[in-house]
Amino acid sequence: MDYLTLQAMNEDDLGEYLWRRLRHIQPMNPTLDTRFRTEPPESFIIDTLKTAPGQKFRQALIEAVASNLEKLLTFNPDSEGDDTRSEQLASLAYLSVTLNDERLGKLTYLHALALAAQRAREKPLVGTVFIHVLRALAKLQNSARLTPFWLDLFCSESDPAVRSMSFYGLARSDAKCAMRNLAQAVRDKQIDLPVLVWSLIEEYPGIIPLAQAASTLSQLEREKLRDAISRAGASSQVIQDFDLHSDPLEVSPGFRFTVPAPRAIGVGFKRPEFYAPIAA
Amino acid sequence: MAYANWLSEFEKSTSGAEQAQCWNLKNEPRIDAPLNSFKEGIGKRFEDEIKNGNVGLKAACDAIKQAMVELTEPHCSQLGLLPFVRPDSFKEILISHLPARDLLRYAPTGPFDEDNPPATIHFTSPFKSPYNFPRARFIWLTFPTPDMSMTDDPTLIVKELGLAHIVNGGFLFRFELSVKGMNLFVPTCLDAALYEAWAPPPSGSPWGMTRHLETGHHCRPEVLTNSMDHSSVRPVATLVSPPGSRVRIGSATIDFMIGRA
Repeated sequence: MDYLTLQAMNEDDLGEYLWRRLRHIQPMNPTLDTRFRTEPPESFIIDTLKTAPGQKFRQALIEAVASNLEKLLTFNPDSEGDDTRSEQLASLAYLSVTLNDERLGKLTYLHALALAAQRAREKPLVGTVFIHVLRALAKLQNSARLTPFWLDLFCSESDPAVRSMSFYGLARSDAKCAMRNLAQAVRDKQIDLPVLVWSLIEEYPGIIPLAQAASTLSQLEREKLRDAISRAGASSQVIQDFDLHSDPLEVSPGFRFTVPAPRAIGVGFKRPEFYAPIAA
Repeated sequence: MAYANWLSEFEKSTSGAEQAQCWNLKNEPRIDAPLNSFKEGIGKRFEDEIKNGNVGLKAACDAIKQAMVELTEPHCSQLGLLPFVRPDSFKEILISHLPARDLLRYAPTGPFDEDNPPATIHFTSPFKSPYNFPRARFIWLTFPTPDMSMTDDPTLIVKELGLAHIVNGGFLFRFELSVKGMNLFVPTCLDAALYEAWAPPPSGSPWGMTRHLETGHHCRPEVLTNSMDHSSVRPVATLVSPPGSRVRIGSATIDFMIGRA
């Protein structure tokens, strides 16, 4: 199998190929590099996508990923905890982020709910599947409808990587809400803060709103946040912006980030009934 | 005899990677008996392929591929045959590298993209643990020497370490592991699963030596540590890039056979 052969496949064949490859069904074509690394099975597909001209292969791949995600929702329901299923879903979620198509968001949301329910029943998940599904959902959401979902997860989750990803999802869903809860994220000793703040700076809400929200933090928390920004690799300009806009004495009231009274988070939230269909 | 038949077919390959695998098989003087046993295994697989109707070079290639897969099994008895004897001045903190995609895919600590990662990332799980990096017996480690410090140029480090499998234009991360009190090994061609970018070190070298991707020169020291010895460690990975910049791994003109006389 090479890039050109894969690019020439129709949607159905591509869907079948994807299903078999991501479930590690032998023979794998091409074989995975397991000698010096554990090559993710979707790597070959991502590299094929990067070399594909036009949109034809991308569109076919979106359909193939969607059909795989749909099939997996009802596939072998007794296999919770099965590492093949978890790895397959993690790969599909990773591919969904690469494809960046909103149509995959609804299916990703259904998987996220199923995994959250599975965790709530104290059935441990294998590997990193929940993180990858949440990452895909955070990237593919197209409105603020999932804000309660993210906030609930951020406040109730025990895994720091899930809390970090939930805060990221919250920031992409409702940046102001995320900034109101910034102190909780900064105080969290388990979250990998440089990774989280890097995404807040580079994506949503950006350094200025982040710095303005930080102006309400204690000096110790601001210093911790500044250190995380620095360790994340931010430029001196970004750090300068943070210093300028996070200093409570320097911030003009007119530019102050509005911070309403703290709300009772995690209580009384109603989960969205459904991730509503996305308008074409 | 079966091995000789296999070899005469496999040597017909024009692929640089397969020629280098063959070269590694023929130029590993340190483990005679286990290597002969491995060669017999290849010969047996080759005979089976022929019996099953496969022919010629394809049968030879399929036979060696199967044999190499066996070498990636963590419990393979042909791995870790050369214990590393530490010199007096040996530093117990060693270094390994991995691409951003693998780090994000198998140990995601939070939200980041392989195309725009932060400069510092904490592992959420041990490197090469059973669920996250299955089937990996060893972690490959290097270390700076008085003659050669670690460089911040990701392209240069990939070339010098012979990391042909991660020349992809992505970002490279580096992390440290303490090996104090742990068994270390000098890699053999079997530990390397005949990796085409690898070569045995010069005679008398106390450790393994990496092979430069473009020149074939021996470059940096390398030793192996058991992955399971680090199952409770959560390393911190840092971006390999000159200070104040975010440099991707550049391309390399790889010649697996250059310098192999």
